[in-house]
Amino acid sequence: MNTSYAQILDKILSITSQQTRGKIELSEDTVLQEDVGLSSLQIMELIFEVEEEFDISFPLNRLPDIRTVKELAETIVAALEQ
Amino acid sequence: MSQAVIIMSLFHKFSQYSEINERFSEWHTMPFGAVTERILSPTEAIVSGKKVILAGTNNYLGLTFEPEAVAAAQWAVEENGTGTTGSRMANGTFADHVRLEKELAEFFNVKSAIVFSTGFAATSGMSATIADSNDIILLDADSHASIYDGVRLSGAEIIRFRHNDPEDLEKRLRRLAGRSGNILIIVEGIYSMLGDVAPLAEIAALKREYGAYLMVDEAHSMGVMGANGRGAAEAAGIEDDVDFIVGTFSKSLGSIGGYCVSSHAELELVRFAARSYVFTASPSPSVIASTRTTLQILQQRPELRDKLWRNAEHLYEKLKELGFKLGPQASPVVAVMTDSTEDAIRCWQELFEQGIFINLVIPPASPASTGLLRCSISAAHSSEQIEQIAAAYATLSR
Repeated sequence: MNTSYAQILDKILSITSQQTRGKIELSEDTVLQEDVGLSSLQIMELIFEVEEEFDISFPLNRLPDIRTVKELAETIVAALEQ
Repeated sequence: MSQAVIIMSLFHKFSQYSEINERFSEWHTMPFGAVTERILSPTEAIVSGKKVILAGTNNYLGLTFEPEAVAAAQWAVEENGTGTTGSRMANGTFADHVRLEKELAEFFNVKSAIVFSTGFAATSGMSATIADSNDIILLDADSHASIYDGVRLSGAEIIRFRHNDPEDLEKRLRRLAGRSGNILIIVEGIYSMLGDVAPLAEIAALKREYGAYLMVDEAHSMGVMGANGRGAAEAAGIEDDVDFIVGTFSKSLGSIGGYCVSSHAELELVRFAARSYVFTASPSPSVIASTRTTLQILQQRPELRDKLWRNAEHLYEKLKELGFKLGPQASPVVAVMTDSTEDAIRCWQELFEQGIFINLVIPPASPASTGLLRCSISAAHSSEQIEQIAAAYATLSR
């Protein structure tokens, strides 16, 4: 798949925005748990949607390393390149 | 000064629980601190000063006061003492541990069985040990905490699939094409929160197609499902596809402890590697004695399973008629989903005040983002008790 970082970022922002119902301004530096206030269950659901969108499986082991939208996007880029 | 800062920082992570406790205190409720002062029978007790019907004990077959099991435990404690004081791999393997393992293997028609000290130790221990950093684990998203904790310790790559969704599981298996390493799929029989049953026939078919291994946690389904009470795998007719069955003695068998059984003779070698088996004391003689007895009763009295299901369906239908949002199917776990966590807490207290003691489940333990009022039904409940439980639910302000 030839998906750019920008496209992935856009998609994550769009999915996250649906979860926050547009109440929070989101950027690359937004911290998913603290800034957006997503619960662990909501983060899991976000991951499911991202996985579905990009047809990847996201190892749970990598989750602790991801705090921000940017880190999530970079991890997906890496997964797609594998 | 610096020491004070360190202490605050260390305990800061628990502040959310302090807030929950304060809220409970304001509401004069204590769902997580209720003390059973006297247990009257498998279905009745005095809890926090109130006589209640026990409707959330996981005592599915109601065997905790079974005279033969009580007598066996009494005999064992007199004969072999109060505890083993050691690991199974040191001084803690008594003859009755070995007998129980043989009886479990016979019951499940498999080559090998291992007895652990708790169900948590069995499930987490097996999840941590069977796969390693060269392997990949696919687990159902609603798996029990013991499975999540175990797989993290394994070092394997962990991938979740959507709860009870074979289609999602297949997508993930397909994505792993060409990867090296073994694949272990972990699911449960009956899920403990909503009482729904895994689609094991479909999961087993995928396991065969993709050459994976399969572990099924039958904690809530052993003694409950299957013509012989062996669990959801027996009920689905796929026992030959299951590589490892794990479970507990603390539900249908009315004691405490856990097990893993397998047709792979190599399970015996897991004894050397499973840390939750090696580095803990083995179950007490009285526990093993009562478990051996209730395992026999489970096989001799299939009518207990019939009664359990009649009771479960009775309550499920009653609550459905009342318009509650329930789990997807009738099973001995009957869970009502509330609109909010606050509703769940309030309803729990209202039920308690009416003498019905159930389990309150709130996030993150709940699979929903709200709350659950969780009943687990017993064969020992009378029809009148089921009616009383339903009548109490009918009065809840919604």
